[in-house]
Amino acid sequence: MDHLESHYTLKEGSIKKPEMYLGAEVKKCVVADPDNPDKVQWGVSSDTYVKRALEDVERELSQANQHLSTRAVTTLPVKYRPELDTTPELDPRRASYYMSLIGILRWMGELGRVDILMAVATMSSYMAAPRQGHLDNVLRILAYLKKHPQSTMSDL
Amino acid sequence: MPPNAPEYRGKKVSMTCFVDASHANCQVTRRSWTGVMIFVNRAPMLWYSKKQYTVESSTFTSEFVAARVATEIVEGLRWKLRMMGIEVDGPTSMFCDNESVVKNAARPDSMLKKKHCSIAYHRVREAQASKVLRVAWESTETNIADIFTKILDGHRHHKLSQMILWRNPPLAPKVPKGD
Repeated sequence: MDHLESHYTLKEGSIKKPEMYLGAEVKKCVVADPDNPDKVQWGVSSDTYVKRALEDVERELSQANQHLSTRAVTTLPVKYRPELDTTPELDPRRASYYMSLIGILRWMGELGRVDILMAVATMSSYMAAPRQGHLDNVLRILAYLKKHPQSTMSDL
Repeated sequence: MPPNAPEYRGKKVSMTCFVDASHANCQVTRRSWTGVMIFVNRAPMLWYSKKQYTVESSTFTSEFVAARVATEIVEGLRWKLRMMGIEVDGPTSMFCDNESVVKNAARPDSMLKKKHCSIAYHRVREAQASKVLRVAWESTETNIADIFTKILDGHRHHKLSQMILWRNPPLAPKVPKGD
């Protein structure tokens, strides 16, 4: 950093430890390693991203007087078959909302929420013509995330 | 190997890969689903969950297609690590819960009886022969990639995600017989 400062003018107060990178929280953490239990390592976490995404979704839902279920134990119902869903197709506005939700969930998977990966991959096949049932189930994945907001890969 | 490839630095890392497929998962197209999870040392490094591009007629072939996809990902990741100067310790252990696939891929004398998956067969066997891979069997119960191939019930979903998500680190790789 001192080396950089000798070449460039750095903004006052902008030099600090990294906090966020591409939506992932960057932190130091202690890894459960039996060989050296006290070793501190850098880690990334999706917790903040999940929390903020849920806040956004709940704000959007509250406008339509809806809310996320609080009882979602799994991402999707075990017997759910999205390909056999015959509920009405969504209007363009809500279809694009569906796409943005899938985009958010996909990025969560990339940041380490591998537990929702299968469900998201299943639901993202219906981006072109999403149906009401698909949207309901994507909201269920979010409800699952609300119930399990902490399952990240790094122990922070 | 390019002449300007970086020298190895730091400790060697071990690489473990879990593969699974769910045959004819999609009820409309009857395509199967591939799930791959790759660990470098004990850290989850790469994951893949996607519908396959072809329709397969048996569990065996869809598992073999998944193994081929995983082989390609593993080779890509090994190359990437090589170019970053990280040495991978020995071949990547690949765990698959289909016994026939393991036999067909791991044993040099085993013949393929289903001709239509011969590309996947040769792809995986060649990787095994060139010591990029070594394929071993893993029970469906503990195959982590299962979580990427089907929608599971609450108990199993929780168990498998706990295995990946560090609270309980994954089991140490077992050395397959006859290697």
